[in-house]
Amino acid sequence: MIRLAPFLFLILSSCSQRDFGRPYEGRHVARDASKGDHDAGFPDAASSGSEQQDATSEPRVSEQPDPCAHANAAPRTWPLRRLTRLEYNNTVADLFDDHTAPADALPNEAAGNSFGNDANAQNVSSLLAEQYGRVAEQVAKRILEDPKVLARYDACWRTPTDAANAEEACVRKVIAGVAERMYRRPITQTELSELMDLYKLGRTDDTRESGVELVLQALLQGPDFLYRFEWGEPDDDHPDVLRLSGYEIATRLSYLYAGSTPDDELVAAAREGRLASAEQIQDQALRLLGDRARSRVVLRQFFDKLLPIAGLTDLPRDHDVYPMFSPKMGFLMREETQTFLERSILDEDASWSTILTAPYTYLNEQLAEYYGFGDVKGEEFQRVALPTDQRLGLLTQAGIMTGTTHSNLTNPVSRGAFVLKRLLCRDIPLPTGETLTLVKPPDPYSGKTARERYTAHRSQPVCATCHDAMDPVGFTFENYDAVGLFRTTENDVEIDTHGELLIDGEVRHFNNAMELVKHLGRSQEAMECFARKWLDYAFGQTLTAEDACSVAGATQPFRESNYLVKELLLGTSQTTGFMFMPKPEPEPEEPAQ
Amino acid sequence: MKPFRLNRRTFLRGASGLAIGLPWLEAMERSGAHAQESPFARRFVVVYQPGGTVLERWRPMAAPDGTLTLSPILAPLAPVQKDIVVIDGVDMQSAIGEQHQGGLMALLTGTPQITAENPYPKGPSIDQVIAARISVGKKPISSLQLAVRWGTGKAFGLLTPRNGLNFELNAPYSPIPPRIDPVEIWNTLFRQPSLDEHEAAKRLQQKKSVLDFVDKRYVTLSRRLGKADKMKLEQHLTKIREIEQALEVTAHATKSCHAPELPDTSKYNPNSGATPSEDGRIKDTVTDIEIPRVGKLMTDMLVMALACDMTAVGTLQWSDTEALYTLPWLDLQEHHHYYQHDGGFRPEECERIATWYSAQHLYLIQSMAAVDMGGHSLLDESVVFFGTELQEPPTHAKNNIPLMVAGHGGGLRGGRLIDGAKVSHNNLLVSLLNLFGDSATTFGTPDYCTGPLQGFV
Repeated sequence: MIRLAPFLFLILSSCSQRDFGRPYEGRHVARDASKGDHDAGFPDAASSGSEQQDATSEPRVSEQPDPCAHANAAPRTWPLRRLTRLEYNNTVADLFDDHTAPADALPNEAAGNSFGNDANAQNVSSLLAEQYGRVAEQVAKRILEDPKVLARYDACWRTPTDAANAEEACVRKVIAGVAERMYRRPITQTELSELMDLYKLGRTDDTRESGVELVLQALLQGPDFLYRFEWGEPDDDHPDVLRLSGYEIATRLSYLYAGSTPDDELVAAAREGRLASAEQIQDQALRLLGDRARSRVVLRQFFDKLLPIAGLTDLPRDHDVYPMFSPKMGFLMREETQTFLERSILDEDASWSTILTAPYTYLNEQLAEYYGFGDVKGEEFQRVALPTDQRLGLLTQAGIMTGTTHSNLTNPVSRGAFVLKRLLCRDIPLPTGETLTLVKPPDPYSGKTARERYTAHRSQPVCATCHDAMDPVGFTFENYDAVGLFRTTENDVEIDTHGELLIDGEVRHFNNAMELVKHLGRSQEAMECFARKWLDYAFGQTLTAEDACSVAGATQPFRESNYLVKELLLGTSQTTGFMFMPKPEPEPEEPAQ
Repeated sequence: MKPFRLNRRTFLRGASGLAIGLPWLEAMERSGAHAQESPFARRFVVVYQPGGTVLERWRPMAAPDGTLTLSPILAPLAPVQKDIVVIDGVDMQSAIGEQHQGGLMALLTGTPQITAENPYPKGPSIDQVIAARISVGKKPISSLQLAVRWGTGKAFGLLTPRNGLNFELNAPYSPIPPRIDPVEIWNTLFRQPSLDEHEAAKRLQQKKSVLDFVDKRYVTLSRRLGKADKMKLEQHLTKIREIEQALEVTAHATKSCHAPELPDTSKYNPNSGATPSEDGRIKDTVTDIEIPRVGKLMTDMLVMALACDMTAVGTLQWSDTEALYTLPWLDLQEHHHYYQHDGGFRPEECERIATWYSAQHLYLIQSMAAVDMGGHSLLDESVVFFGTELQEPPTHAKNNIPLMVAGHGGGLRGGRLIDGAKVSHNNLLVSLLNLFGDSATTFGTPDYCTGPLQGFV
């Protein structure tokens, strides 16, 4: 039996090579596709061999059925979602000037879709409910400590009065203002009077501050604040679905692009009906993305979870073996990658192709010294050209190479698995049962090079089915040691970095990491995987085949622009899934007992 | 004589306002009579130690009559030998999934890890099943999960299959996050607000009003939602009602109930690597140095939470399967996982670590034995289950899993070594349920269970 057969079976059976097809025909926006002329960044495209077909030039989508033509193309319901800790923190900072990150006291989110914002993985433990109460008490107390905070909601709060009627009238205005911003929608008179009842209870035998504090405690742990409810409204042009209300769109936009509650402008836009058309929504998306202080937080969060860079600060590395490496270097590596991504995406309008194959990075003096190239002085990060015979693009950055290594020795399996899972969206089945008992990490001293150490397990056919896909990719990165520095030998033995990988349905051979990343930069599979990861994060769930139409809606401008990342970010707000929701199904009748 | 029932008005409340404050000690009276009320175990404790053991150094020997002779790793437990049952040779057959994670999930659930989109087990953890029987609605806290140096490594502050040990009673059996901040736990359980009785009563009333308001909002909104979303809100409401109910529940505390001493733990960062704003530090030696002190405090708080009848079910989780903490007090400067296999299997270091955990377990057992619950000790009425996620780190094997049970709840006899005879560890879990009066004959995935563990009782 040739070894290729099980290998192909694994890839074809477990990998999600999704083609999401053409966009939703009913999309209102004709996005400007002329940006597609933008240099998509194939640094060595001409020289990298004519045997490689340019996967991006003629995507195979035409062979796929149009997911939006399907009868069930209506957007599926977004599951009800709770604010994440980051969102809670940002929200109370915006609304109440509370910058203490109080939600850090809440229990950790479940990983879910791997970004920690998966609505379907949000569990309410006893501890969470209890901590919401405690955090609410602390935040409410702090709000009352500074009169300026509530005066934002009505200036009357600044001037306490002895007149009971006047006091209550003022409190009513303050509470109405606060509740509207916390509920992210107008509130009803009934809701206001219920809040006032609670206020009066707290005011009895006590101050107006105590009364308001009680109301704030309730608001801060109430469902209207913690959860993002969406009810939708009928839309004459789309009778089969519901359109999200202006306030609901404002909320989606704001948490997606700013990681926080709608700002004054979004609230005004919602109130004035200026979030009705796709163009209006896109304009707001652009505005929010342009607010770098906020949008970069969202991007950082996404890339921290997509890439293995969040834990670089203090990795277990033997100082004698790696005297150059320190927690500070780990921190800087993460900054390099985040700065590179932020500037490439937000300032330079780069494509995901460019990012994977960029002949440059961003370094400061300390990092330039660490790498041994780049004429940079000072703390500031500056663009630096890479020596392209050693490094190219995101994957060869020290942070990625270090973050995929868990000890003093590189591990080709984890590097390969990272590329397959996170960049190509392939599912690698875990060894179970009998296979699991065969799994034994190699003795670190059993061979001079990683290729020697990690060859044994591939002699087991059952292991080879997976490792024949993962390991060769990892071997190709062996030019980078456990702290991301370039090397050509290990234990004085020349490192062999050739490898192969099935990409876009064809086995590609490469001699080094630079050749591999060029393949990835041309790969439609890699582009669509990136889109899918972003959409998992942006939609806060794990998208499935049901979401094909929405995914196509966001992927189309991405593809048409030759994979400009910003187009993907903006395109997200233009999808059916973002703007519409299905009509609720009628409750099935309870069978009679 | 009826046992003294603590009146809520004679309670001081914890800072959270939960009815888990301490009794007025002078008001305490106690009859030993009700200790004999039930033949079943009354308290359940789980202790998790990461990273397995070194089998040949752990394996105790048995005399022909089953009497236990302790091994090097278990040697620290000699003073409580008569209180422990060591189970050797059971296989964690249900531990199917990722190498460490599969074991962590199976340990208390007896079910495999689902490896698709929901990488979690298929059933509740045994502590939650026992809590539903002896604690929920009866004690102010349904169950208490405490963790030391938790959320290390690749979890990056998220609750993941790498660190979740306890799982909710009901589907989808979500992982339960543990409490990790020792000071906050102490404040919640033991800090007494400096309020006079009038003020305390008023605060309580206010808290009830807030909860009542919140409760009503959950009810109103969930009525309008579709099925899946409704379930979410109803789950939240259930937990709010738990808090509301806790305000009404009164506890039976004993004279032994007191606030444990709170040492200075300011150098210990419980959120190290576990908050969204964190810079991703995964090796925090400053925090690591404090592990023994914080571990002792966590143990003290767990024991007192039981002694004060705040709860009947507790978990003490030492780290997680990542085990990315260093052990400078044992002169081990690399993290635990490094000695397990990241740096190649280091049996001597792993033995030193496992032996240290035996010593910590001794402290827990002795502390429980020292608590007088009215004529008998806390240990006498409890069952303490000690386990880990795998047998030995280099192979990640799940057979011959090193397990131990302590206490005499339900009439459990100690000082024994039980030959597991290669049956599934689910059988042991069934036997534990039986000690609490649950007549279950199976637990977890039925394929991995053939009934109670022979020779256990």
